[in-house]
Amino acid sequence: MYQYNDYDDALVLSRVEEFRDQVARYQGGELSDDEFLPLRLQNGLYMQRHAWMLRVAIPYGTLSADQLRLLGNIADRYDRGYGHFTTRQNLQFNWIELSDVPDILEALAGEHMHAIQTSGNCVRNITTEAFAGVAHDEIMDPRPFAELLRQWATINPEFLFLPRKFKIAVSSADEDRAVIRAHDIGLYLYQHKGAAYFRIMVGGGLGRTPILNQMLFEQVHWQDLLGCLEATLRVYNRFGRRDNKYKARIKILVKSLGIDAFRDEVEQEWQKIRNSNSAPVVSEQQLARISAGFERQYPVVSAELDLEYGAWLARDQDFAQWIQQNTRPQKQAGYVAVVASTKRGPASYETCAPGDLSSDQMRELAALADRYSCGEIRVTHEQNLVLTDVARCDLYPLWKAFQRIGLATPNIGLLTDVISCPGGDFCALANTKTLPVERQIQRQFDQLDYLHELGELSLNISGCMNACGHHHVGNIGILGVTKNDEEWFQVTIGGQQGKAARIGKIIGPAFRAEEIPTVLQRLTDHYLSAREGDENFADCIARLGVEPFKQAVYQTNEKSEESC
Amino acid sequence: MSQLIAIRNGVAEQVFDDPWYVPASNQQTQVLKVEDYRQWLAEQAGTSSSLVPALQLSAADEPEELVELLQQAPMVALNFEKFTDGRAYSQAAVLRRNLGYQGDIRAVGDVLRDQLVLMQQCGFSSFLIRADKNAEQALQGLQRFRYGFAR
Repeated sequence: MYQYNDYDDALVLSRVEEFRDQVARYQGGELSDDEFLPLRLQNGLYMQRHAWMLRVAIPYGTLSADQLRLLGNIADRYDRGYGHFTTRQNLQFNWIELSDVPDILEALAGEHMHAIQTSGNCVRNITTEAFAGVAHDEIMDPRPFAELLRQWATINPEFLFLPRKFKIAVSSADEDRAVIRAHDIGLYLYQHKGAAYFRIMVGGGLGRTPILNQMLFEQVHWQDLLGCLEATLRVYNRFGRRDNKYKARIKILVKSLGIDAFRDEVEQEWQKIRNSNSAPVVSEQQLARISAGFERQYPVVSAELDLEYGAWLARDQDFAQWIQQNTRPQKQAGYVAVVASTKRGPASYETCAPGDLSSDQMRELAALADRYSCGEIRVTHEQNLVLTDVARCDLYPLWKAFQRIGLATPNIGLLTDVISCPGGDFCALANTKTLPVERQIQRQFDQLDYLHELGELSLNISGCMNACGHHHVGNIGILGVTKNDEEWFQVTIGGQQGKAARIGKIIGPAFRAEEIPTVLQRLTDHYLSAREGDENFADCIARLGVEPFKQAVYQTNEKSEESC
Repeated sequence: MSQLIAIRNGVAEQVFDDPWYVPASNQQTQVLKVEDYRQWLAEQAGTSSSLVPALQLSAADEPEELVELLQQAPMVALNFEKFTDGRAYSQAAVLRRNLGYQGDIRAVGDVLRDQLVLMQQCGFSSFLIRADKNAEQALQGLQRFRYGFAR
């Protein structure tokens, strides 16, 4: 992974001291709540329903084993022994004392981590897919460029008080596993005549107004990327709406100007930046220094040892099922990427939320990463964790170890691999509680055979319009809404992530939380009866449309609300 | 007490002799908004005055359209209506980098200690600290670590 240099160290340490001073001035009354607000947000600190929440940045979702161990230790010392991995690959501590935050940040700095710009109206954590560098369908490794963007965006003085938050994601594989179409800026990295280029898409986002981003520029050389982004951000910073929080994202500006007029504005600004030679310049050497950290030598794996692996596959059906569901081939022959599921199915659905890991699990996983992987852990957009570079001969003992620590549920990509925001149990913005719904779903769908029969199916739950659970792009999406102080849940179907990303459609009136498992059962039963061949759930809806599914859900339903 | 901080010869200091904000000075020149500045410019045509006013922009003004005024103005004040409104950062960057403006760029309005270093990096060269804040303490805001990309 990326190695900090002295400058990076000096930066994060000075930031810690700066925030220590700001906290002291806030507690001393010198800074008002309003004045402190953006300062703390830009250091990852939120006020939640019951306590302070600290969101730690995990740049493009990559952690070293030492970093994960540290997070576990912080969870024990300063929180309640667990942390929550988010859809944007960060980690949240939910029960933090304000006065501890400077010390926590200092501890993080010691392991080359920070919480800079994990919140606030600024450029947030740059994300990419969890299989970057190893994906079998990868074109180029996006991580060096994601790191370049991290450095450019970090404390970029012009863009810290944007109209609203700004999210950038990078992908460079046949399949987009970073949801780049739903980002303010989605970058698709590809090769052309031996050089790296970007396709730049702008104006995507979920929330109240779900929109997929549109093509800004087809072909931008990597050395022009930062100049182009600077022009884009400057246009947004100057002309994006600031009068209404819900109309302030760049997607609204792009939509109101139209993509062509927006592009004209950016081109003009970009030309001025070029004329004045003020674009940030990145040399080949700088990129090479960054890239060096991501390069790895892969020893040739002995084929002999694979015999044992094959034997276990034949002998142990549960193991074979886990291999089938929770591992992915790598482009490096003989190595496999393994997904640790944080969705523990019926086994422990009372105690943990999707994306939660206890401090013990963090330390155990770190130890496993050291032993079987490359001392590195990735966070997925689906809130699971990945160990890459596992030799096939190590898969069986690794699976056994995952079983022991409760991370072996073979449900990656299946219905119970639910993406969910923390909801009203934690979040002050949410108007509904998502976790009880998620637990009911885990209880309803506790038969692995049925889940495997259903196959690939994404289920996303958001506790409010802000859509942190990305419900719009789930094959099934659930959105919590309130009406007359009561919790209701709206169901959308047909959403999809990836290159063929689509926004789902609402099937009809909202439901009570307790009705949701039945609704899902009807949707999945209908799919099983209506599918053709090996057509998956999303394709089946694409072929048949929403209507037959809607009928299947509502024909026998009496309790649903009339007009939510 | 002066609320003004300026970067002079690369050093940030509290300023007590500012031509634009010295109270009760006979020599006090003016800080004019865009329309008033245009009017002044029209009235000045053909005459030569030693008292050239400064120009104050609102966050919605576009510096690119004001080149004629900028050629005259020895100082441009950019107003932060609220410190969370970041438009003036881009205005300053446009003034300094795209338009090559060489005069003083001053932050006025909701100008607070914790943003000074960001302002400076975008091209601001003086800062009129909000009246209820201590400017001497705010000066420390410019002693902060100055992160710069592409080091």
